[in-house]
Amino acid sequence: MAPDENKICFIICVNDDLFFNECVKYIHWLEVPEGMEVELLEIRDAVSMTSGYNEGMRSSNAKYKVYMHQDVFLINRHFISDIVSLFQLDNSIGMIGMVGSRKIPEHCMMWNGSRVVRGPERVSWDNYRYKREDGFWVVEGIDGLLMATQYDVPWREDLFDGWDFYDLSQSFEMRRRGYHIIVPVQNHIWFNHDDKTILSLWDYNKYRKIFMKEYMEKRE
Amino acid sequence: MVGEKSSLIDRIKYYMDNPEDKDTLKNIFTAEELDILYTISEFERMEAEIPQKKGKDAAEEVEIFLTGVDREKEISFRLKEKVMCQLDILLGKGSTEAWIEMMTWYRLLKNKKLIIESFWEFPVLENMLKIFSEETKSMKNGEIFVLALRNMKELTEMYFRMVFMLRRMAYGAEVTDEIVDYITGKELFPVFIKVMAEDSSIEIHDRENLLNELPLGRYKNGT
Repeated sequence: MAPDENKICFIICVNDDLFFNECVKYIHWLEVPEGMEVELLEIRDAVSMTSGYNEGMRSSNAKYKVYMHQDVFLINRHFISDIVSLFQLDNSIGMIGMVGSRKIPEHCMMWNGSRVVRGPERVSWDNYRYKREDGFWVVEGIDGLLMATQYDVPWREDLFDGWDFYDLSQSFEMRRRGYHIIVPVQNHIWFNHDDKTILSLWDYNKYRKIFMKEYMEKRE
Repeated sequence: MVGEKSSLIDRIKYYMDNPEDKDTLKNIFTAEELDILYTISEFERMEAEIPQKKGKDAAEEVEIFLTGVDREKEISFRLKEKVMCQLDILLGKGSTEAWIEMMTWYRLLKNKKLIIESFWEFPVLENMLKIFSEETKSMKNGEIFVLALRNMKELTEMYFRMVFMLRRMAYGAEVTDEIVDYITGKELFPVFIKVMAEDSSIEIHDRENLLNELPLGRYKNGT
């Protein structure tokens, strides 16, 4: 399918309708730029995030795809125009995230490294509108809570068959193909995230070691 | 002398002081309660047998930490399942005494630093226990509304519905929802607001403005 430049697709793996329904409300409240079509794909019973996202990716011809968690609520009403304008700014930008790490530490626990998200200013909600001058960070990896792409790159379901490290893996896959990954400088938050303050790390180490072997040993 | 009608705190204290007195323990605890206590003891024994190591650098610290997570996985899930079952039993009773026992279990686990920070249900439970405490302090006509929650699924759902409603208010979006009528009609909302306001881990943008602009009446029907 040739990618449709006037379409954006939200792809969400779903296992909790309470959260998903609330997430969708915020998507519906987004301002849609004229001429842009919004598609929503819910992926149920996915055996892994990568396989779910691959299924969603193959199912849509939207040029712009937003892979996001069901417990993320987009409160920046101009989210669509903001990320599309960033993608259009530079063809080398492959992926945009909301939270990222400028350099993934050797041990690969992203949140133990230098994370970027909030800008230096604190703008009130009523006055906030992202502007190009606010800028963005170029990062090595982004958090899986939301990952927006303008190019389809297959997710590594061959390696990451669970719910961890799919985000860093995809970040490195993008970079292997020469694309940049950025995080816009957010002087007001763009989202709320109910990750419930608990890090679920039960399979984390297994996938961390897979990630280290595949990417860190070969890191330039 | 401790008996089956003694408070849970006193019975647990007896268990801590007399873990070998199996006959008395069988009389003063239900099978589910004993099961939790034995699993907690097992968890603590397992942890005590691990020598405390310190990594020489960040990478080694991470490896030690995550190895510990791997080691604790099976017993953590087992303990969680037993605790959740017991919480469902207690919630099903719909009584103040049952909620006080829930508080006891929660504090026991928290003091022992077991599983409270590993599963998302526990921070939710903590806030709902705070709401219960606030309600008992300020109850009118003797009615405590959280007692209507019959299991953990209902409890966590109620909690998140209220968080979602607060967020929509902050966002300026519609708040028409059957939950609004339920909780505002039953005066639960001001208590909930008070507890949520104190929990900075709950993401609500413009929290301060929102709290200043309450009471609720202004936000009914999305205006």
